[in-house]
Amino acid sequence: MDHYPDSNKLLASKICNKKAKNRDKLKISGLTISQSKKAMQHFSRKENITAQHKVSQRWKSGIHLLVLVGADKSSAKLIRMAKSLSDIVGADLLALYLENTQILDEDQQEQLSKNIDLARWLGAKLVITSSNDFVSTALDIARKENITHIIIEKPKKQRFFSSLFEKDNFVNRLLKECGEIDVYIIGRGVEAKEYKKKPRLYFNALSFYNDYFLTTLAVVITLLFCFPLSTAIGYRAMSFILLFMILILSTVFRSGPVLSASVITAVAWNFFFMPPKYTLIITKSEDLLIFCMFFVVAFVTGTLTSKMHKQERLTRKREEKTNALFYLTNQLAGADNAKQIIDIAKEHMEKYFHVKAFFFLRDNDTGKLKKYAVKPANFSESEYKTAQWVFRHSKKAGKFTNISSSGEYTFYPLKGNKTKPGVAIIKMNQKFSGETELFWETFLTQISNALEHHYFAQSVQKASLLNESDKLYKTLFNSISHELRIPVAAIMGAADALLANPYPGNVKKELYGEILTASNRLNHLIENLLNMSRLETGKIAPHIDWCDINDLFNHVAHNLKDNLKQHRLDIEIPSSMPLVKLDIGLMEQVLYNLVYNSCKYADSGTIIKMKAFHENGYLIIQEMDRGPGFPTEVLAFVFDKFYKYSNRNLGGLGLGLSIAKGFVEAHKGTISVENRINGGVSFTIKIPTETSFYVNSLVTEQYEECRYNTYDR
Amino acid sequence: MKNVDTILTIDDEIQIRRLLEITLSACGYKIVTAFTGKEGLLLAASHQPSLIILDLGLPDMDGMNVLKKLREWFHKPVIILSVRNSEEDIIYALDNGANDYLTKPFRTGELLARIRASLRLSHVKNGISVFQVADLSVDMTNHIAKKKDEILNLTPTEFVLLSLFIKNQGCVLTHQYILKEIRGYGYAEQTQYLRVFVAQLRKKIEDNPAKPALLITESGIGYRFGI
Repeated sequence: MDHYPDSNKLLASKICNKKAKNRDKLKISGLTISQSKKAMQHFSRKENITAQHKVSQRWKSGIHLLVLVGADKSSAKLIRMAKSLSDIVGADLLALYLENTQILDEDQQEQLSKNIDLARWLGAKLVITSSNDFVSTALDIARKENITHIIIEKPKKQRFFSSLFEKDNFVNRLLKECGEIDVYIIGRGVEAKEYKKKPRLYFNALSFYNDYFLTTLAVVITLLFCFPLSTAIGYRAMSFILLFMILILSTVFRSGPVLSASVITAVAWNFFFMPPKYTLIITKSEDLLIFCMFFVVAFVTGTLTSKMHKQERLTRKREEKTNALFYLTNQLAGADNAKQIIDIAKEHMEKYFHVKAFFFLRDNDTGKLKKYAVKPANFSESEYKTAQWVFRHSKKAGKFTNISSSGEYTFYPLKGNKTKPGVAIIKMNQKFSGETELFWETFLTQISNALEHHYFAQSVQKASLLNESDKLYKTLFNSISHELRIPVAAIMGAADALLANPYPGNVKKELYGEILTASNRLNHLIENLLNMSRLETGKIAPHIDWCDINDLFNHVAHNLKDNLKQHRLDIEIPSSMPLVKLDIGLMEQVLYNLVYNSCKYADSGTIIKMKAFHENGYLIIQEMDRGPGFPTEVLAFVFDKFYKYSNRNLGGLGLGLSIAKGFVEAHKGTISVENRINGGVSFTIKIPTETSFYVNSLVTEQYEECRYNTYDR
Repeated sequence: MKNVDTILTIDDEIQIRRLLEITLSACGYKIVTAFTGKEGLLLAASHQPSLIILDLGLPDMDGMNVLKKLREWFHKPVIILSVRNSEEDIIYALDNGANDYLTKPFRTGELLARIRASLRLSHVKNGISVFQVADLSVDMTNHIAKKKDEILNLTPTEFVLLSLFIKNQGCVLTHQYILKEIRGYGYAEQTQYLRVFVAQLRKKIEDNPAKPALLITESGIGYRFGI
């Protein structure tokens, strides 16, 4: 990095001296002592606090260097030098590139992008902005960024004409207006001369000659048009028409063709119209003046319009870029997820850069690059490795870069403000020009920021979800521990009482009964919790087997016989009921929960009914009671987890029906609920099931076998 | 003098063990307890119990392995008493030699009934040809089944099924086991046949076939006769 060791040390010592002096005087550039004093007096006022903040900031960090980046090779040296300087004095470095009306050729653009890359690589903060007024823009930025020293290059020798037109040159103005900021001018390297001039014409030569042809054609047409007029209006008036034509041409074409057109026009005017006609002799001094006028007009308008053109072209380009960015950011703002962002990015990249891009994104959980979200067919493992490298090092690589350039893809890292959202991969046939590359990077920054924003939003959402689930967990925990404590309390109380007191036989029996009831309740609760967790973890895989609905119903009735003591249970199964295929264990739980609820809520003495029949390939089971039913507005929620509707506090977790629903759905069936007309509630389960009429027909075979055997015996 | 049956319990849960000790001793059984699978195997060899109550979740080894090791030489009844209540576990244990399976929490009365049934079976293994359960009697040698002294008109399959049940009364029989016994290997998966046979048999032997009292369904596992 030490390209200019001596000069750098010298400069560094100068800068440091100045810093020390400033500190002694307590006068910091940008803020005067009086400002600081004011700030002390009105300490609480907002603007003064900011002023103070500024003071302290500057005071703390001292020196800030700004280096102006240009589009030639010597600029790279300047950047390196500024960097080593900033290292020596411990200052941070800001690199500034000012776009202007000057049009850069390809070499310059390439050099520019190299220079900008270099600045970025060296760790300088980079600012790119465009302006016509170099000096004031540069100084504005310098003041905003608290720059103390500006480093620029000694300018090239100005050409005579341009120095005539410019009021003052850049360096002089900068020196005049810099105020408290120090400006260091560094001499140009020797190589700068070598660069000096390269032919510029070869580039779009065709349109160039086209222009000459078109202007000449315009001149010829105008002259032909003028011939019949010449006798009527005189040759001097004609000259105005011709001048007018030159003016018009100059608004459209560049100065070269316009100048040539004006030469042709002047000569033709002289030759065809000015007396003596068909000679080039000029007799009158006014005519000579008009003749010269052609050249003056052509030259003046030519320079003016070409300047205007350049400006316009630049504006248009800038507007295009701005529009492109505007549409991009606009659409990105509307994107909901990473996929949408990527789709938008792809679309815009194709539109503005004519490249097909795809992306590898960061996996938020592992922080590593996700493998192959979408990948083109011929994307190899080594290319994926390159993508990973790019992701880790945040440097571009691949085709047209310095790193692993052999492949056909170019890899650009996506760099957000705080994270690295991923890698963009494009296939391009031709290297981006310097300006396009800059624009491309701005584009990528927008996309990176959108992705980053999305990720942050996601993690915030995740956090809030976690918070929610934490709350839910607490409620659930409270509810469960309550539900567990009640039966435990009953058991403990009863058992304790039995141990302590010699109760008579009938009281003892009651207490034992209490213990048993509480234990049953506890057991039911645990069963439901386990079933719920089975459902939650997706571990329900029904063991479908042939089942006799009679068995199913009997089992439920048997298991609930204690609860059913107060009710009458009616079972209705048609005698033609075939065997059906289902998981009898799960269905038992379903019906158990339904009947259990009915026992709990329906008044004693009422009828609870279980009914089954087969219809169009569906097994339909109905469970009905004459309990209080549900208000219509809660019918939609009764199958929700932990939903409890009851105007009586009968305990329970609100899991029974949601388990029933889960188990029925595990059979690909449905369960519905409705209030019965004359009070009570009715649940209907509908399960698609195989039936075995074939097996039923076995029954008849069986009888035949029986008859045969009897005869045999 | 009545021979006192020794019951070995292999369970590491102190509460369950204490409960078993209290209830089983009260019923006149002699109790030996083991905490671990290894200890259980040792005690089974040294005490030659009439019946073993085995927990599946043991601290040193899986109860299923204890069962398999026991079954290499131990031919008396083994009843599994476990919190594992999935049908796969139950069927697996029954197919590997367990005589019965009870899930915790259990009712002591039921456990005692199962113990009685298993012991009865092991005591009267051979030589008996006429079985009597409630109002049902089956004469194996003469192939005659009677209900309330009336001869039942059974098909051969129904008779085989009934005799299978009655020989193993009180114990749960898995679908696969029953099918193998009555129709041979290869039919073990045709559970729908079994459903039909059972339904037919119930119509003939039960007082109320819709509410069977003798031939009980163990849902998802198999059938149990009697108790």
